[in-house]
Amino acid sequence: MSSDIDTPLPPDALDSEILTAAVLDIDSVIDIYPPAPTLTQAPQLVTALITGAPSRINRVDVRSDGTAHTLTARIGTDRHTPAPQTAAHVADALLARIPDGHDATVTVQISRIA
Amino acid sequence: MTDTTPRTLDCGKTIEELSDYLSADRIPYNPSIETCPECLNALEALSGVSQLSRDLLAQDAANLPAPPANWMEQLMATIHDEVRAGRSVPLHHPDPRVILTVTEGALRALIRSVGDDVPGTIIGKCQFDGDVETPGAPIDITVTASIAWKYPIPDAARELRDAVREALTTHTHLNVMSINVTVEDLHGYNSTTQEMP
Repeated sequence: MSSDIDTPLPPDALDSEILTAAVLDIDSVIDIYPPAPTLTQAPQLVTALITGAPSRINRVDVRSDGTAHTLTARIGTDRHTPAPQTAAHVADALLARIPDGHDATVTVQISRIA
Repeated sequence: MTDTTPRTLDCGKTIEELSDYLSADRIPYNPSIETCPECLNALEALSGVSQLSRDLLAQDAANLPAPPANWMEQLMATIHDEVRAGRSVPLHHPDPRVILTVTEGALRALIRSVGDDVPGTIIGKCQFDGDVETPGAPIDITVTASIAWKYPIPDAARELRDAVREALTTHTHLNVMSINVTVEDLHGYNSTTQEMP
């Protein structure tokens, strides 16, 4: 996947805020959550609590070493839409941000169906 | 675990904290609860328990079988156990770069939710038996429930089983072999049950 990269990665392709907005744009996504309740997120959580801005931690998690990109979204979905369909839409929306040829992995975890 | 032992979720919140938060009508807004899927699943389950408590208190229980003394306590403990994320259940996607999953905790909360929508039914425990993390593996579902007084148990059990099957068919790719419903308790009826023949 990392060979024959004809299209350079746009500067905002890995922007977590833009990716998060793309996920939340999908009708059957009701929320997005922090990737996992780990200790490494404690500083961000404290900041979110102080500022009252949970959006600081509730976003698509982006990891990249410059050549391989991993996008992770932990979401809640509307129970009136099949969860697999919603998850697929989210994955497709995230992959659409990464041009063909780039090494990308997308993980979508549904943590709540309501 | 004793009755006074705090039941802590993976995120650090306890069921008791969430119960207090629910009792305060979720005010003031707590972002660490309202942005945590396990907490939200627990709040939804606790909300169902609260409604049931109000129903039980609202009606004349004199002529009804009393629920077991620790019934509510058991329900709270079950909610604690079941809202945890648990195993990851894979969902299909044709692109090998994509990994889709739904947590076991989300599915248990879903089952509790659809079960509570069945009139006269309160879900007790919900268990997935089998390797849910392997696509196509045979899975058996076990659900326990309490049925409201005067609701025909066979009808309620059948309706519950159908609702669970439909939810799992819609929201997962699990290979469900069986859905076993066990009615463990009867509880007091709400006002709508009084109109049944």
